[in-house]
Amino acid sequence: MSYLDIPRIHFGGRFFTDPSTVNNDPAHYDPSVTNPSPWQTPLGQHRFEFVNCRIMSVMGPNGFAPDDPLVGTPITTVVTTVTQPPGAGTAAPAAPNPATISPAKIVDLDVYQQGIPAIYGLNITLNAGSTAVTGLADPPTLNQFWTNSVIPTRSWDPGDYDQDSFGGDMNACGWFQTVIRIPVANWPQTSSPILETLKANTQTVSGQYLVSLKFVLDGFQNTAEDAQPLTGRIVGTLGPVLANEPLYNPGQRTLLPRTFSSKDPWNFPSFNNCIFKIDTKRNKLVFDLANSICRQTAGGDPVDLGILNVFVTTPEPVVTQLGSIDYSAFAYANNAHIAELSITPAQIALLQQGKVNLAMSYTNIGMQAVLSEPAPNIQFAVEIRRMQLEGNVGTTGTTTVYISQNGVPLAGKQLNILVESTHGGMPGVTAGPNDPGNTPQADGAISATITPSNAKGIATVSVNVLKDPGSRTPELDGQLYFIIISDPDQPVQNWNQVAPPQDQMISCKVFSQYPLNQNPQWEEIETMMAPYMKLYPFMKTRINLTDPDSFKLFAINPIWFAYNEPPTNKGPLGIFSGAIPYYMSRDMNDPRLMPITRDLSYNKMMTLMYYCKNLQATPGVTTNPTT
Amino acid sequence: MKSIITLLLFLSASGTIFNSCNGGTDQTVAGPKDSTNIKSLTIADTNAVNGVMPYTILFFEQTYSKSIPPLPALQAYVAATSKQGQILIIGGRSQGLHTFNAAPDTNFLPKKANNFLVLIDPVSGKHLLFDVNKLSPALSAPLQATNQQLYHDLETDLVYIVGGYGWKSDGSNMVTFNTIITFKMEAMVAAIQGNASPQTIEALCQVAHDDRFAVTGGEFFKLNGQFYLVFGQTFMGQYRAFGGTDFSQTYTEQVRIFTFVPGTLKILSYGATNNSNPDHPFHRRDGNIIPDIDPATGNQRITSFGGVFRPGIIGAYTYPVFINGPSTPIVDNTGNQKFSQYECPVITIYDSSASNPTVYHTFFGGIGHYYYWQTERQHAAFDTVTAQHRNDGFPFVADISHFQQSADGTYKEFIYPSPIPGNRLLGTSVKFLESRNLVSGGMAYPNGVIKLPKISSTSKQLIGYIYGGIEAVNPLPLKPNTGTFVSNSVFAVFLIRTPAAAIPASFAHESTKDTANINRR
Repeated sequence: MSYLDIPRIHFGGRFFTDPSTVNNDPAHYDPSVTNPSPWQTPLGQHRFEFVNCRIMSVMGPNGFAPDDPLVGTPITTVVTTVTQPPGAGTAAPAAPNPATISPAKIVDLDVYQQGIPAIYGLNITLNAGSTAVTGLADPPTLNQFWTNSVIPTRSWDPGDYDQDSFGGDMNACGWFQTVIRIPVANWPQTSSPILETLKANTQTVSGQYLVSLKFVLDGFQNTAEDAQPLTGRIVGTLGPVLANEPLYNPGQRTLLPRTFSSKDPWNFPSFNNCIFKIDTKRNKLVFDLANSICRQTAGGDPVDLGILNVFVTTPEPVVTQLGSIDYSAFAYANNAHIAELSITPAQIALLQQGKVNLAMSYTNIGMQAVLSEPAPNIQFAVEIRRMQLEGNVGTTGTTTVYISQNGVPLAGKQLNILVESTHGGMPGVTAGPNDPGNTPQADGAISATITPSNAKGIATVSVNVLKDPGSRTPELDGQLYFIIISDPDQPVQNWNQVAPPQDQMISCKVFSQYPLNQNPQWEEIETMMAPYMKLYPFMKTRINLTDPDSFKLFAINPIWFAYNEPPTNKGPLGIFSGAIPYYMSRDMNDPRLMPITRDLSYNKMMTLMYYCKNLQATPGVTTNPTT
Repeated sequence: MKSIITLLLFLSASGTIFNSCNGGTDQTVAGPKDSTNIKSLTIADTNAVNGVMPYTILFFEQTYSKSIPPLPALQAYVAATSKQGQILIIGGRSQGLHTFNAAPDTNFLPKKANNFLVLIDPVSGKHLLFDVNKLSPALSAPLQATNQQLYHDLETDLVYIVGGYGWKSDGSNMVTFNTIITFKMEAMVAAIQGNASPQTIEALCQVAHDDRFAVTGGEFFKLNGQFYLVFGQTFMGQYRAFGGTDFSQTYTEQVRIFTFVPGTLKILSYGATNNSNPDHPFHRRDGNIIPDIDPATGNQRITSFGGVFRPGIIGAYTYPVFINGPSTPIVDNTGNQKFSQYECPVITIYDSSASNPTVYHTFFGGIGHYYYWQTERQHAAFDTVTAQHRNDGFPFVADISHFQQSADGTYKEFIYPSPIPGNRLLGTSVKFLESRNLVSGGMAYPNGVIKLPKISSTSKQLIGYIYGGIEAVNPLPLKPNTGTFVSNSVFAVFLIRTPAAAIPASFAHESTKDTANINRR
């Protein structure tokens, strides 16, 4: 749980994103639908950027350090300048890496699973004085997403809620956690003591510093009529990555929200999971409240709860009040709503054997204990919760599950694992009951296993493809599965009635088998590209990939020198020219990768590469580097 | 009227506490000649209880040489004190209580706005003026506003002036300025003393704009490295007490907390704390919002006493709000203050050595819901106005009161055993101007709260001054829109750790409220 440790860097501002949502309706994947409704931002480009984000505060061993030169400086996601390496003298500045100029891209896994978008190509730059430090984040995935994070001023009547076509996004909130990888050579000495302390205390892997990053998004304004369209609020935290800790999950103790009922009065605020950590080195109890307390307005201040007191209940039972914590609007802006409470060693002992809860002082807006630690104190969370597999028999995908007890890794724990084929209306699926979802062919196409946890609390999940899963429609490749992890020591849930906890489920998309064609004809390519031209209209405004002449032009031109690629950086099949093969052969975490939706199976992509290669090899064809 | 009778007794017996200093010199602050006289102070009022206050405060009105031009009469200004003890006055006005006329009249007269930076030597009464109209409009207009908010950061010597209500530079209308202005205090004092050019003065100032600064009647602080703009209102257009169409009025009902981008006046982190209590406890302006100490913890805090108006009624807040940090302020309905709901000088003293540590707040006159001392003439006027159904329940008072909170959470309120000399109805719309020597000398916490254990029990300590303010002829105006003016009196205030008598506030008289004809905003 590195971002809750020190040194800690808090930032805030706004974010911009413009995902096209034409592809959000399963019906749009029917080839007979040739003029799909535009939904929101049909010409969106799926960009994700920080906007006017700054370092709001930093915290070191002595508390906030307002004089650190990092405070008040921008934190950015698009790199436009390059720091000269030491000794570079007066040489002309190097051109920034093109991959860092392109904005990151936010992408759903599947039309039936829109709840775990990931952000690809997220380059984060910190600025300390004249020195910039840039690293690339592992693609983070949305977690602990909730759509009722704003007090309802109308009602909880489902009809009212549904009528508000954009209310879902405005009222939603969730967080992303990942690590930033910063090449050692790209992190020179800076004037910021906090940055230097962070560098000295964080893990180094494969010549890269790892920095923990977590941020919360809310109040997204997704219509052109909004005051700040296509932007929302962001607060976040950077911290060290410590050994043997998960990279994409907090891995700490969790408070669960009080019971919520749609029958509650309108002014009863809702709550969401809250992570907390006992910092025994500093004698602090550290809470991450940013995604846990209902807002008064979309992207606004937390609701007024009076005083928010911290209690611990030990088994006797004895309830001890430890103090109160700061959940103010200022704390949200200044320190990403991470609240600290000083505790004594004796209180730490209580905390290690007891259960924590947060209780508001107000008595007129529902049960006072708003966030409470559950009775079972075993926590587990999947590290990588979205998976894409080729449909070939024998394909295997793996991820890990971090299991802890009272915040300490738990060894030898065997969890259950269950594969569910998805369909519309199923809890956790982002499509209605009239959307069919998987076809019968999907059944039995994959299996999944999980190992007992090792000494570091890590269990390994393996997903195996057993047969061709087929496709749902000719334009919706593959099938979608939920792989649900559960604790056998807890009551069995009916996952057809209750959505699994978001961090205890893997969403796995398995592509249909596709025969690699080394000599494809235009009709095959056109069929492959047609869904993208329908569902991603912006791309069509740049290159109509279903127009054979346009496709041919950009399949051949330009030579990749135009992208500053050295001749050694050849693409698949030795290709070194053509915009289409260039953008379609980028790394998965390169923001320029096409298709942006990252849902083209390998064999389809390679078939397309052969088509381009063959075009380039056509006698008489020459490439124009400036095209 | 018991209070009037006792007053007459008192005036003859206890004149040692308040003096008009006829023998003051340019170098010496007027004060008691002999501390032993204080110890033997006669308590004239039979309601007074001996020894309930662990200290004695002494107010001595200063008189200055007739060869020196008189000080300007000002109220609703803001002020900062230099290392050498000069007081820099900014903004405010020379008009008494504003009038309550309907359009098209103006109730805040443009010519009554204070357009000078006034640098006062409170010892000699000498003062220097700098006309802010010589500055650019971006500075001159907000610098002559009224009821701005000022914070002097003693660590950096930066003076911050936020907002205020005043006339736009083109004179077209009144606004609440959305400005923040800073300058270094010592540099500004030196510039004024050196008769610096307007260009030099201008160069000392930095100004920025943000609508979140558009506040008047609140207060501005720095606490634990963060800035707090507490309560107040945004008033745009002409002041109207009885409704109209040429203004808008919005109480902030917020504690606005923020930091700046280092080296700038651009807000970095910002959060506003609201309160959802149906009583709207943050709907306050023009009260006493002061730096304070929490007696239970000894930690610095901000405390709001009084303030007006409760939504929809002519009522002031009588319970305090305590701001300990960014987290939820504590609204303590168990505290009930009878006196001084409007801004007046407040002296805050903390006794950490007591078995039940207590913080004492002394309020100097002003406007309050209760009163104790009234002269016969004042009370006759009070009765007359009440009979005319014009008593809004908030008369000007001559009382000095103590409101104290102890570590065990209990409150007590007392009335000083003598009123302001001459039963003057003084103190409204000015603050206590504390001596910086208290902080530098270890006699006060960094926020200015006085450490009682550090105060001598044998010799008086000068703790600051009271200057100007609204002075009323009667507790309530015999004729609407009349009967107030602005004082230029200066009181030197001394403290000695000698127990004093005080009158329990339970003996105070509630101002009769008659709202039949009242709609003051």
